Formats: sequence, structure tokens, C-alpha cells
Amino acid sequence: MTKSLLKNTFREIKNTKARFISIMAIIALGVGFFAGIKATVPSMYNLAENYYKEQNLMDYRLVSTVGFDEDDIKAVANTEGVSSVMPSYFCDAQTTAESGGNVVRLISVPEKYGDNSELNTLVLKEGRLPEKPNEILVEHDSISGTKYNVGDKITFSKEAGDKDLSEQLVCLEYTVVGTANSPLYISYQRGTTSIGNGKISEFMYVNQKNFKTERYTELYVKADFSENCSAFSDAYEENSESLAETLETTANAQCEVFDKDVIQKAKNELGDSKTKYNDEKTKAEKQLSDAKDKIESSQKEFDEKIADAQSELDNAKAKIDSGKTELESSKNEYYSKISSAEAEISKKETQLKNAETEYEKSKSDFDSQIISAQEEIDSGRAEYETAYNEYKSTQEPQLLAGIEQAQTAVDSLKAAIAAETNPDVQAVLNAQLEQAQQTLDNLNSQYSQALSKLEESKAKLDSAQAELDAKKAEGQAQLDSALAQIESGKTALENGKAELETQKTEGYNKLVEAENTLNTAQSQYDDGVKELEKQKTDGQQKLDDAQKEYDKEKSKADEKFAEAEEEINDAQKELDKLSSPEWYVFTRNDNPGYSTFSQNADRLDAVASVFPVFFLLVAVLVCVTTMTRLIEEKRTEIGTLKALGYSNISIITKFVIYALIAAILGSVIGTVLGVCSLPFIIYNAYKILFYIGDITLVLNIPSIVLGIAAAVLCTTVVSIVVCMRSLAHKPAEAMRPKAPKPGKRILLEYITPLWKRFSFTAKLTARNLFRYKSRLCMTVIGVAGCTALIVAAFGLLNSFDPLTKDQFETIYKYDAVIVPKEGGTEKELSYLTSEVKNKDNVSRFMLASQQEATVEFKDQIKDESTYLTVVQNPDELDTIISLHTRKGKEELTLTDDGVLINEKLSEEFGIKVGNTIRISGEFGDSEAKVCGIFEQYLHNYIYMTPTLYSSLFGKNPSYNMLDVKLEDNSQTAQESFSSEVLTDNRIAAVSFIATSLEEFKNMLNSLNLVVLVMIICAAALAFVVLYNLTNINIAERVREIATFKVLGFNNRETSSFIYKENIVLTLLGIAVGLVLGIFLTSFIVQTVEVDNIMFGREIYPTSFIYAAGFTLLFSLLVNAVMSFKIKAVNMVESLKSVE
Amino acid sequence: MSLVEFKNVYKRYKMGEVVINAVDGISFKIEQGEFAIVVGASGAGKTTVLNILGGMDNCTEGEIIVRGKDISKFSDKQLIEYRRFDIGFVFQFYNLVHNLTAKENVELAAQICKNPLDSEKAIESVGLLDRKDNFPAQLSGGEQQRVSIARALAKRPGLLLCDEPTGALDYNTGRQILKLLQDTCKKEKMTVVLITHNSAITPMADHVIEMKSGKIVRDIFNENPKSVYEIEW
Repeated sequence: MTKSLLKNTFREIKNTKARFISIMAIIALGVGFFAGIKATVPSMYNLAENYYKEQNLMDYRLVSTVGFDEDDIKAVANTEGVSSVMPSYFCDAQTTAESGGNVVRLISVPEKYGDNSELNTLVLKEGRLPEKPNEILVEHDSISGTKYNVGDKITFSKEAGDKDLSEQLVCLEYTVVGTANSPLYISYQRGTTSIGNGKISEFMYVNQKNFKTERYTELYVKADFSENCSAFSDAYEENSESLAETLETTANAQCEVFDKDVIQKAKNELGDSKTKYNDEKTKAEKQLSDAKDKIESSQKEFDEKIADAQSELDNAKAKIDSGKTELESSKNEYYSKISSAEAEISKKETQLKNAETEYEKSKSDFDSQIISAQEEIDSGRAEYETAYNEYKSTQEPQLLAGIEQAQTAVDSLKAAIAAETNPDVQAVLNAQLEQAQQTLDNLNSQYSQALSKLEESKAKLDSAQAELDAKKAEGQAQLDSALAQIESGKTALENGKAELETQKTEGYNKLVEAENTLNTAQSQYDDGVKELEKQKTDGQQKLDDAQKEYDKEKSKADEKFAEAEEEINDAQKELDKLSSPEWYVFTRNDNPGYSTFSQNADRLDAVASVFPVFFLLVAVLVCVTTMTRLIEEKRTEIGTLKALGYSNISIITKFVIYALIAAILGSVIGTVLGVCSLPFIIYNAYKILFYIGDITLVLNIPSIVLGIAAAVLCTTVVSIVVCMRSLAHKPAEAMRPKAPKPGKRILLEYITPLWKRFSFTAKLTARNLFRYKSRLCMTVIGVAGCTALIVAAFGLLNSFDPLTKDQFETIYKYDAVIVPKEGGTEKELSYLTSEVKNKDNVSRFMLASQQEATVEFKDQIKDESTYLTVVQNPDELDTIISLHTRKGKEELTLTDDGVLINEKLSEEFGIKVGNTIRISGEFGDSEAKVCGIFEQYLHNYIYMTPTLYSSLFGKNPSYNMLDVKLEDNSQTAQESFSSEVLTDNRIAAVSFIATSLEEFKNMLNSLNLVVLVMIICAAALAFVVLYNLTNINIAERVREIATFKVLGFNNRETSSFIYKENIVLTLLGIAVGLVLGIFLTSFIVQTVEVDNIMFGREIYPTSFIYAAGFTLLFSLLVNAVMSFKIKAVNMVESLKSVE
Repeated sequence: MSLVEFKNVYKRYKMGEVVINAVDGISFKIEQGEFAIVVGASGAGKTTVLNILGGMDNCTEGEIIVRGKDISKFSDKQLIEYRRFDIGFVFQFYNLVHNLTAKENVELAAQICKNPLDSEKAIESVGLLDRKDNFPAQLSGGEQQRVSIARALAKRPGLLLCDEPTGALDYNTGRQILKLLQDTCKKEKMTVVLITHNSAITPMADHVIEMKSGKIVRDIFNENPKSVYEIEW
């Protein structure tokens, strides 16, 4: 390479500053990101390692079921590989309600043991270490929300689970004398315990002398190898494992010793007392059973006697009863007979009365008839007398006179006739005679007639009189007979009546007699019953007395035995505890903080591996387009150089140097910026989880070298490849201008109706887009990357949202949790529910049982931050806690068929609805079917019904918390509620959701910085890519631009030719980026997510809008900058010569 | 009044300390409908004159009156308007837009004018109707130049400026192009200003301006301009 060529190279750089800078920038971005994140991980490790070294963190923690004595310590210390041992005490306690009711692990302040060094040295932040028994040291960066200050008082409640704390500790009341951090607890995890809610919320340190326990509860062991192996390293892991095995051996040996010295002895003693107990028990039992037999036999006898008497009485009673019935029926019969007889008599009486009346009536009728007939006859007689008298006095003389006259007349005439012999006078005398004769006859007949008439009337009267007399006689006879009949009837009736009376009296007497007999029998029976009753009571009294006596004796004996048995059982329990002495060897990996820290660091490493690859890809693309353009511009120059006799290599070298300088400069700048900023920004976010001080930068040289090498290699290779393509031409060919890329019809043109509607700019844009494919790719990838990054940044912010919003507002509907000192059944906690029920401010409440649980599914085990929750009333759970699916928000109901688990747990293990999981813990061990997966962001929960719980674990759940929903959940209302509730000394604590929410929000705020970094990176990416692209685009098409200008297109119109292309590409890139963003977000979120927290999985539409908007904004900014460049294109210069 | 009048026009370039007068105080007039040729050796300043006349460049001093307006005083915006409506350009290297077909190239110019010629007709007038849908790369140099002329004509410019239109063409093709320009000038009464270094073609012009080192050395009128085919070079 000649000097002039070198000079040429530097000039080239100077002339193409923008291009050079864009290559440099994109490389800086990629390498910086890579180096920065890669530096974060070792810096974090380094921080932890130094911290552990300084605080002399133990390598092993030994815990035994029986504690440790001096011999054990000696044995451990003598184990090969152990450099020092520090015995220590710990116990778990619960502070009193006034002190917060938190579960605390009390540990003894680290102290040197003999020649051994002190381990787990505390980092004292304030005050001093406790010296007196009543002094205590609290944690400095408390996560539980209870913040103690030096001088505060802390009181522990006496009950710690089933143990008495005062047996373990000298003091229960302490004064805070200092705050510190412990290397044992570098993260938020505090571990679990068997007391309270099973979750340790903070640790505290007290003086060693404060522990009453004889044997040490734990041993901290420091190994020889840990001086030379750095924490978290593979070497450490290996050494740690092998020494752990050795320690196990020591443990077994010590266990055997313990077994021999302590356990066998105790066993023998226990055996003796057991035998004695059994003997005595048998004896006493025999006595008791004899007594019992006696009582039972007398009871039997007595019962029999009573039964006999009773049966006799019963018979008598039966008889009496039948007699009574008989009497009753006779009575009835008697009364009915009497009444029927009486009825007959009265009937007959009536009849008689009727007959009498009839008789009276007919008699009077008859009498009146006779009288009227007599009267008639009498009147007829009087009439006759009158007529006769009248006749005699008047008529008869008249008649007789008439007759005599007539007779004289006749006789005179007869004498005349006879006298007269003249016929004619004779004839007239005859006629007169005749007439006189007739008159005489008439008168004669009249007379006789009247006489006969009188005669007849008289006869008639006489016959009538006779008839009447006969009738009278007959009627009288009839009446007389009737009267006689009546009389006889009357007599008969009288007789009947008398008879009845006699019968009545007779029957009545009989009945009275029978009744008397019965009454006597009844009174006799009653006496018998009374007698029996008395006998019964007396006998029973006697028997009861005997029974009482027996019971007394028996309970006395039982008590004695129970006491004895308890003694034996206690001894047995004690022995059982001892009988399986077991040591547990815990390594640092079992320390939650230690493992969480390394997990987090490794996750970060994973992120570090993805981003830079992407940036590097873009860098390569930028490099390709830029170098291609550069070399094409220098085509003639290359031809000329070739013609002058320069070798291909020296020509290539020029461009390689160009690329190399850009790559190296970019890498260096990027590395410096990345390494100096990213570790601090990222660790700042992690600081919410770990308190081990501030990070110091540790350069990750291999990664830096790798990053730089990758960048340099890529750019160099790209420039060589592009150069080689150009150099393949013959010099003459190279010196001629490269034929411009021919225009081509694109597919779109064949859709004539559409194409026709396109404006020129649109047509041109469309053709150009497809003409320069590499540019299309680069823009789309670059812009997509930018969009995706922004989507991911906002998506990450969105993913924090449900932690606060959904978790504390939608899912947790309750406001407060009341924790009773002792858990229990519904009944046992009724004091709590009734107290809460009476509060005005309480709208709903529900008892729940929450216990730490271990979940197993297909060989995967989870025993951290997982709780089994049993709710008292699953039907009303949705008013307290809403269990629903995340997608679709479908409400899930808790049934007895199976359990509900949270989404994070199901995701982690791949548990699906219908799978069976194994749940175990203090409460037991069983399998249950998963019936649903619900939305939950904090910790892992398994919900089940009390019925299922008892069927799975064979006991009723012991409720240990009460979720309460308040009507008014304002700060003041909460405070007053809390203080009211805490007056009951059975209540350990009241905590509020609002407090937890606030803490959480603070924690998440520090993550905003990470999001800002991502957005800045995205912006940088967009600028670099778009600027570079547009820059090249303009350079390539400067002639075209000049032509437009000459044709009279104004600046706006000219620019639009370029911009349309940019905008289309940007939009395309945004579209791709939005899709890519979804994946990127999900990757980042799942990588960043810590074990017991689920981040939201939802990206809000606004995030997409922001991402698209920001990207578009960046693109427009680039276009705005570029418009100056377009304006500056000189027509004359550009068109002067062929390129 | 003349269509174009240059009055004492200078164009100076400053190259460090040295000031170069590319155009050194020239004055001339071109009448409506004239076929004018500016001839001169390389570096005589003829392209600069054309650029200034076409509104692509500014003069340093002097007045350029086109249709009574002094374009040397025009703002950028006015110059764009001027180029858009008054000027048609034909370049030595055609400067077609490679991504547009022959017809589309013509339409490109036509679409921004007030009263353009029909694009098809413009193409037809240069005899390329059958090739109208071809891309520039598919056309020969002469054909490309004809498209370029059609593009200029489609605008119905007041002034057609041609910068060495035959420079990149062979003899025969060059003649055809010149013929096309001459015919256009005569038929359409179009004022054409053509730049060439080849003085052999000057007889075909109505008006010949010869330049040398930025100055006009000859400004003559041909009474009887010859047809292109009568000229040989």
C-alpha cells in the first residue's frame, strides 16, 4: 500500500463523513449494547463475590433435628477440607400485634468460636451490635414494610407455633440498638417456617447468650477451597458438592454416636416405665371391671323384679279397663231401654188422650143431633096441633055446613025433579042436580082429604118420634162402649207405668253396684302402681350410688393412667425426635438470595445475547449498503488504479481500511459508552431485589473482544466481498460508468386499473422499492427493529401494570387481612368473625387458610412462594378475591372436584387443566386435579374448598387469616379499623392491601430507567439506519434529482420522490416491527420475570401506537434533515458529467 | 423586442485566490423562432451561458432579459417556475429517469405544465411511438435523445435549450437528431438554442454565436440556413 493510497483513504473518510459516521454509529450501538450488558453480568457476580468474601459467608449451613453439641462441632471442624466452624442459634418467633405481628427469624449474632474465624459477618448500618440480652439488631433494608429505628421496642408473643418462646429465649422484649444487612439474606427472600403464616418476613439478631437452648441449632462451616474459588464459579460448585458429601459422612457418624449415647439409654428407661405402667394399669382395670360386674348384676336383678311387678299391675289394669268398658256398655243399654219404654208409654198416653177427645166430640155431636131431631119433631107436632085445631074450629064446620047445604040443595032438587014432570024443566033440574051433587062430592072429598092429611101428618110425626128414640138408644149404646174402651186403656197404661218404674229402679241399682266394684279395683290398682314406683326409685337410687362410686373410682384411675401415659408419650416423643437424628447439609445454593442472584444474572446474560445479535445484523446491512455505494462511486477510480498497475489487494485494502477504521472507532466508542452506562442502569433496577451495595465495573474482556471482533470481521468481510465484485471487471470496463440499473416492470404494473391510478411519484416509488432490494431489507429491518424495541419498552412498562392494577384492584377485592395469633376452625375463630361482623365499616369478610406448599408435577418441584389457600366459603369467594382466567376474564368457580392454580405456576410447569399435581406441606401430602388456571401476578397460589381439603388431607383446614373488605377504605378509616381490631389480644396483625400496593409501585418505578434506555437505543437505531439509507439514496440518485429540478419540479415535489420511498419503507418496517415487538416483548418479559412474580402478558394498543408514532416521528425527522441535502443538490454539477 | 437578450453578462468562479471569468461580459440577442447555435471549444463558457439562460445557474453580473423579464434577478422560486413553464432542456447524456418508460418520461415533464402537448403526440413527433413503453435502458442512444427531446417539447417551452445533443451519438444518429430539432424549430416556430463544439454544423442555424474564453468572438446570422442533410462533417 502506497502512501498516496493511504492518503486517498483518509480523504475518502473526510469526504464521506456522514457515511463513515453511520457505519461507526451502528457498530457503536451494537457493540456498546453487547459489551454493556455483558459487562453487567460479571460486575454483578463480582459485586456479590466481593460482598460474600468480605462478610465471610459460610459455605455450608448444618442443621440437625437434635441440635449440636461440642463434640459435633469438633467432629465437623476436624473434617478434612473444613477451615472453620461457627455454631449459632436461631429460632422463629412472632412479634406481638403491637409490634406488627410479623414472623421473625431470630439469629444469634455471629461470634468467633475458639480459634475459628467469624462467619456471615453483619454489615452494620446504624447503631451497634446487641450486647445485653434485651437488645436486638434489625434488618436495614426491610422488605416487610415494618421499619424499625434505633431505640424502638419490639415484643415477641410467647407462643411460637406449638412452642413456648420463653423456653427458648431469655427475653421477649427488646430494644433496637442497630440495623444491619446480613450476607445470609441478600434478596427479598426470607425463607419459610412452621409458625404463623409459614413465611418469615424479616430476620433479627440477638446476643448468643440470649438463647436458653442447650444445644446449638445450626453450624456454619467455611471450607478451605472457598478462599481460592470464586463464588458462583463452576469450580466452587464442584468443590462444594464434594465437601458436602464428606460432611454428610461426618453427619452420619455423629448421628450414630448420638444414637448410642442418648437414644438407647432413653429407650431403655422408657421401656421400664412402660412395663410398670402396663402392670398397674392391668391391675386397676381388673378391680374396676369386678366392681362394674357387680353393679351390672344387681341392676339386672332389680330390673327383673320391677318388670314382674309391672306386668302384674298391667294385668289388673287390663281387667279394670275391660270392666269399665262393660259397665259403660250396660249403662248405655239400660238407658236406651228405659228411654224406649218411656217413649212407648207416652205414645200410648197420647193415643188415649186422642180417643177421649174423639169420644167427647162424638158424644157432643150425638147429643146435639138428638136434640135438634127432637126439636124438629116437636115443632112438627106443634104445627100439626095448630093445623088440627084450625081445621076443627074453622074448616070442619064450614065444610060440614057446605055439605049440609049441598045435601039440602040436592035433596030439594031431587024433590023438584021428582015434582016436575016437564022434561025440560026436569032436564034443567037434573043438570042442576048434577052440579049440586058434584059440589057436594067435592066438598065431601075435601073434607075427607083434609082429614086424611091430618091423619097422615100425625102418623108421620109418630114414626119420626119412634125413629129418633131408636137412634137415641143406639147412639147412647155406642158411646157407652167407647167410654168403656177408654177406661180399660187407661187402666192398662197405669199398669205399664208402674211396671216401668219398677224396672228402672232395679236396673239403676244394678249399675251402681257394678260401678262401685270397679272403683274399688281402680283404687287398689293405683295403690299398687304407687308402691311399685317407690320401690323402683329406691332400688335405682341404690344402684346409682353404686355406679357413681364406680365412676369416681374409674375416673380417678383413668386420670392417673392418663398422666402416666402422657409421661410415657412425652418420653416417647422426645425419644422419637431423637430416634431419627438427622443432619441437613445446606450449601450456598440452598440460600435463596444466593441462588436468586445467580439466576437473575444468568437471565440478564440471555438478554445480552439477543439484542446485540440484532444490532450486529443491522450493522452488517448498513455496512453492505454503504460500502457498496462507496465502491460503486469509486468504480472509475478502482479502474484507474487497476490500469495504473495497482494490485487488487492494495485496492481492496483501501476500502477495508475505511471499513476497519469505522468498525474499530465505532466499537471503541460503543464499548466505552456501553460499559460505562449499562451496568449501572441495569443494576439500578436490580437493586430493588438485592442489597449488597453498589456495583463496581468489571470489564468482561472476552465479550468486549468478541463484540469488537464480530463488528470488525463483519464490516471487513462485507467490504472485501463488495470490492471483489467490482474488481472482477476489467480495468477498461471498470473505468466506464456502470450502466445504471435498468428500469424494470414490477408485478404491480400488470394490475392495470390500479397502476393507472398511480401518480408518477407513486409509480417511481413502487419501481424504486423493488429496484434496490438490499436497501429495502435494511430499512425494513432497521425500522422494524426500532419499532420492536419501542414496543418492547412500552410492553415492558405495560407488563408491570397488572401487578399493581389488576392484582390489587381487580383480583384482590378485599382491603385488609386480619391474622389471628392462632389458627383454628370456623368455630374457634368465631370471636373474630363476630367481632368483624359488628363493625360498621366492614362490608364483607371471609376466613382463609394459607400455608406454604410444595408442588410437584412430572418431576418438577416448586417449594418457594407457593401457597395453598383454603377459603371458608367458596361460593362467595368472588366478592373477596376474583379468580378468573386472564384471557376472556372468565370467572372460575371453586368446586370440590379439584384445585385452581395460578397462571405462572401452570406456565412454569406446563400444567394444564385436567392434570393432576402433587401438593405437600405441613398439612400432609396428596394429589389433586387442576380444574382451572386463574390470573394472578404475585406469588403462586393453589385454591381449594374446605371439603376437598379435608378429603385430601384427612383434617379440617385451620384458618389463619381473615380477608376483610371495607366500606370505606380511606387511609384514616383503615387506621381506625386496624387500631380497633388490634385491641383484641387474640389477633396478631392487621395488614392492608393499599400498603403492599404502594411498596410495589415504588419498586417498579426504578425499572422505568431501563425502558428509557431501550427507547433511546431504538431512536438511535432508527436514526442511523434511516439517515444512512436516505443519504445513500440521495447520493445514488443525485442525477435524477437534478433532472427533476431542471424540469422545474420544486423542492417539495423533488423531495417527495425520495420521501415517499422512505415513508413506504418506514410503514412497512413499522408493520413488521409491531409484530416483531410482540415476540420481543414476550421474550424480554419472560426473561426478566422473577420466580414468584408474573408480569402482564398484554401489550396495550397504546404501546403499539406509541411505537408506530415514535418510529414515524424519527423517520420524519430524518426526512426533514435530508430535505436540506436535497435542496443543496446542484443541478449544474450533478448533470455536468457522467458518473 | 428580442425573446432573449444578454446584457453584459459575467460569470466568475473563485478558485482560491484566482478568479476565473467563465463568462466574460457577453451581450447578444436571440429572436423568437430562431435556431441559434452557440459554438466554441471546450471551456469557452458556452455551457455556462446555456445554464444561466436555462435558470439552472446564476450569473455574477449583468442582465438576462427573457420575454421582458430579467431572470438574473429571479428568486429560486421564480427560477423554478421559469424552468417549469418556459424552458425545455435536452442534455448530452439525455438524463432520462431510468425507472420510467419513454412515454412516462415525457409525461413526467408534461404533468407539471399548464398546457402540455399530448405525451403520445410528442413521442410520435420524434418518431418513437412504437417504443413508447420501453425503458431507457432498452433504447439506443439516439432513441434516448429523441425521448429527451420529446420530453422537452411536451412542455411547449418558449425556449428549447440543447446542450451538445449529439455529443454522445454517432454521425448518422446525430444528424437525425439535428434534423428533428431543425424541423421542430421550423414547424413549431420554436426558438432553439443549441450548444456544440462542432462548428461544422453552424450552417444549419439562423444565428451563430461563437465563443472563446468566455467572450463572444463572432455573432452572425445566416441568411439561408442549410438543411442538415446538406451539411457534412
